[in-house]
Amino acid sequence: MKRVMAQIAAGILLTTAVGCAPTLGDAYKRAETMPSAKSLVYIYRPSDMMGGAVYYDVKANGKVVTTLYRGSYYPYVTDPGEIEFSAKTEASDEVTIDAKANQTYFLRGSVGLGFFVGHPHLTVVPAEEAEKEIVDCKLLPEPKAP
Amino acid sequence: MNWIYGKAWALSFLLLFVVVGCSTMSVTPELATLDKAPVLIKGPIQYDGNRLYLPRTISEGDPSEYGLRFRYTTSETQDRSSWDVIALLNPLSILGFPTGRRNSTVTGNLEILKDTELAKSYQATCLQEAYRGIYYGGSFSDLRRTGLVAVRDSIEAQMSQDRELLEKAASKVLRH
Repeated sequence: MKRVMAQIAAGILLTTAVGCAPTLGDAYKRAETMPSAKSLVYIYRPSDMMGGAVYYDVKANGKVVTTLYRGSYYPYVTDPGEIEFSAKTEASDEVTIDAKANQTYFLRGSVGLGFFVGHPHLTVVPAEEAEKEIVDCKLLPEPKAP
Repeated sequence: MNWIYGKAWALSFLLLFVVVGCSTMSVTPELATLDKAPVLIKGPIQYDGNRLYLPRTISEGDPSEYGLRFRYTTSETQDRSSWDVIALLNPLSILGFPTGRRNSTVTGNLEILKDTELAKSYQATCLQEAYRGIYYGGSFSDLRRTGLVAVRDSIEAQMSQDRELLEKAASKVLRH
């Protein structure tokens, strides 16, 4: 019984604990220039009510690109090609972008219902839709070197 | 009273098992997939994506009067607003009822060019719809991969059933 209670308490803590978000930078501003022959992917998460305390790493082809918090974004500059973005809490999600040179993409992260912790959802969003959602998001710092 | 509860639970679990397998896929045109796709045309191929999704009925060859151009587009959507609220308030979500729905559309187009003019084209579209729940649900990467392979297979089947193309292939007009 004690064990069950402890598991429930841990679950409640996990779902209610406020994530230690880093200090965020300026509000979204679209990059005016892009390195030549590169692709730019804006990874962002609007300030939704769902799963506000949940945060997760976003990986590109298995390498951590950034940790995504509510109301934040990160501009990811990469070589063109097929890139699989993934995120994981108690469940995982993946989305693939076939990135072309000198093109910009928007990848929205969100949190859906989960058993103990909200599930990450990753979706590629058209620019016109994304530009409306990303305006309130603030810049995430560069990830720390492993 | 117990009898009613028993029925309700049984119905819930029945619905759960029906819904868990709820994903649909349709390919247009829908043709039987080939066991082995023979190379029908060789020529320079304009395509900068993953080679896995390229129809196997075409192959890179020396410059000839025919050129090949393959393009695909993908579009993905996820129902958000209404599902999130319903899922949060629905006690059956914990039993595995759907908490969201995803749609994927993949379209592929193969063009055979003769002296830069379009000589022939083949097109295929794959539509998929998949539900997600707390314990199940495919990712967009899975849907994309499945869609691209289905589109590739459909184009291969179309080419293998194209009598005009086969006659030219047999007479080695298109092969070099």
